[in-house]
Amino acid sequence: MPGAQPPAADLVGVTKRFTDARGNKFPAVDDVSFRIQPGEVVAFLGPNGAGKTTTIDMLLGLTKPDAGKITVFGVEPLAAARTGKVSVVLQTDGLLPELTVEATVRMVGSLHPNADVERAIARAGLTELRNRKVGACSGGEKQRLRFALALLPNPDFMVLDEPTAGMDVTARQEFWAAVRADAQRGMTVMFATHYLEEADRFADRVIMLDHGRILADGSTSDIRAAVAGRTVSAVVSAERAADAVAAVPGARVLETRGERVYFAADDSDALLRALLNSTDATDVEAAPRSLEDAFVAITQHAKEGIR
Amino acid sequence: MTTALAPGRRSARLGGINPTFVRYELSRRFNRQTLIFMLLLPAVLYLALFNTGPQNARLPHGNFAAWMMLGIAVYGGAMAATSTAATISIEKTVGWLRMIKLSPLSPSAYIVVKILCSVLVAALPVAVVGVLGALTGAAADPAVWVAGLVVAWLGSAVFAALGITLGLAMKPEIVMHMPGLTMTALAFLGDLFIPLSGTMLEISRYTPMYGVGTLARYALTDGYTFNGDHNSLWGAVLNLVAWLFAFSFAASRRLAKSTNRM
Repeated sequence: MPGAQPPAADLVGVTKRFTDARGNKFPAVDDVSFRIQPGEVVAFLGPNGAGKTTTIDMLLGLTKPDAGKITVFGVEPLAAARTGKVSVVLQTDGLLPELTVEATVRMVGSLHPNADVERAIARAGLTELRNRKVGACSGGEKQRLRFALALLPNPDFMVLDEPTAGMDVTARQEFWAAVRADAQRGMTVMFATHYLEEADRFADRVIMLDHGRILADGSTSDIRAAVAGRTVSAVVSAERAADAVAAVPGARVLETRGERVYFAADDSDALLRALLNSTDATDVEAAPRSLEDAFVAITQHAKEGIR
Repeated sequence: MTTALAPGRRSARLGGINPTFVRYELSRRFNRQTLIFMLLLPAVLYLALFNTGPQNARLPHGNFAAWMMLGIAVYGGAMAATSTAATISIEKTVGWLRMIKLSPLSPSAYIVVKILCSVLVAALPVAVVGVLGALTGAAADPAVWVAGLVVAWLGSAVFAALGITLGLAMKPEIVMHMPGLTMTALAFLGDLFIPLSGTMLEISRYTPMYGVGTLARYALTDGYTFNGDHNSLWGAVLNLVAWLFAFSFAASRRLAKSTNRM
């Protein structure tokens, strides 16, 4: 009888340093620890250069960490990849332009014992494209091909590195529909993205990374709560700003840049009403929170001990 | 009691090498432009050189044209194998090697596949030079034809391994110019085009093309040069094995390095 299943991924204190052009060492990934349980769908969210790809490379055994330990289903990452327990949709090209779509799937499929080429082609929605040269495929089509290749070993865990970068909306939806179908069959999925919306729609859990460190690790609803609302700003005097903040529970001044004051509020509508009705504020603006705002909000929550 | 087979994953045999993979890998190699170049160059060289032999050149089992035919066959095979194998440079650039690294195909098995396919491509120039030899009066014992051309063909494995090393060490736009220069220089040094003697012959014995060239011609010359020097059979075998080992070792080292992200 199988005992407790080992986690799909287990990272403990993982650090990777690179050397920049001036010869200085800097940490691309800095003391990162997290654990992914079988069946989870995890978004790995962060801006470009946050360390997502480096972490993924280490998770697959393509790069060795300078410190820390990684196991995938309890074994060393490269071994898990080579036995097909984990497979990946890499961000970089990884395809040969002179082959056809079908030839690529058959060629790679021949390497994996038990690979079902036809099923992979069908599930990635490539049936119509099978005779097209890879070089003639669009970005979205190539990405579906990479997805088909990743399906070949029947993996228990699939890692996708910014899989929808450069895709249009339709291609993006089709792509996620295909991934979703597999996630629903119990496949563990981890995908890197810098689209908050994508993380929100497709993941159960979000790990936020910036400057190589984990900023937040929580359920999608935690993250959504942190990003909900709008950033409010107005040209208003400091005293009047203080009045408005005092009148609205949960509101506070974030910063003042020149004459403009930036506010944070749990209820941005109430704050807007207060600013317009009872102060002389002008040029009032309310903008949806950006990913950076979300980062700020989440780090603050983290500091306050709420995750 | 029945013995149930474990329902686990079938382990890949032969390091993952299989006919389907080799077939696709080989089909990728047939590019019209490179093929023409691969066949034309040795053909032209042979036609330019086959009757430039020393006056009253005599060989134990054939004539000068046969000597030149075998030299050019080795050169043509080596060139084809190197330039074919060097296209691994593109695979490295597009990230195909990273994908291979994550597959059950072991790195040494991948090198074997690359060498195998390059040697298969090398059969073409060897055959073309052989046909030209037959048409232009190369004369030799039947054993010389068979042994000579087969050694020229299979000996190209040494240069396939060299091609992999070059391809992994250099960028694609540079590496495409390398086989032509390198192979021609090695062919001169390896005593393939112009009969060497004295110090040059001594130096030649340590260069990579000497082994294959001398072996390919052994049935024709019994190891003798036009000046009466003698090349030992075992010296040539040692040269071939040593260079094959050296280039294969370098290729595996390079492959292990080049799958890391820059």
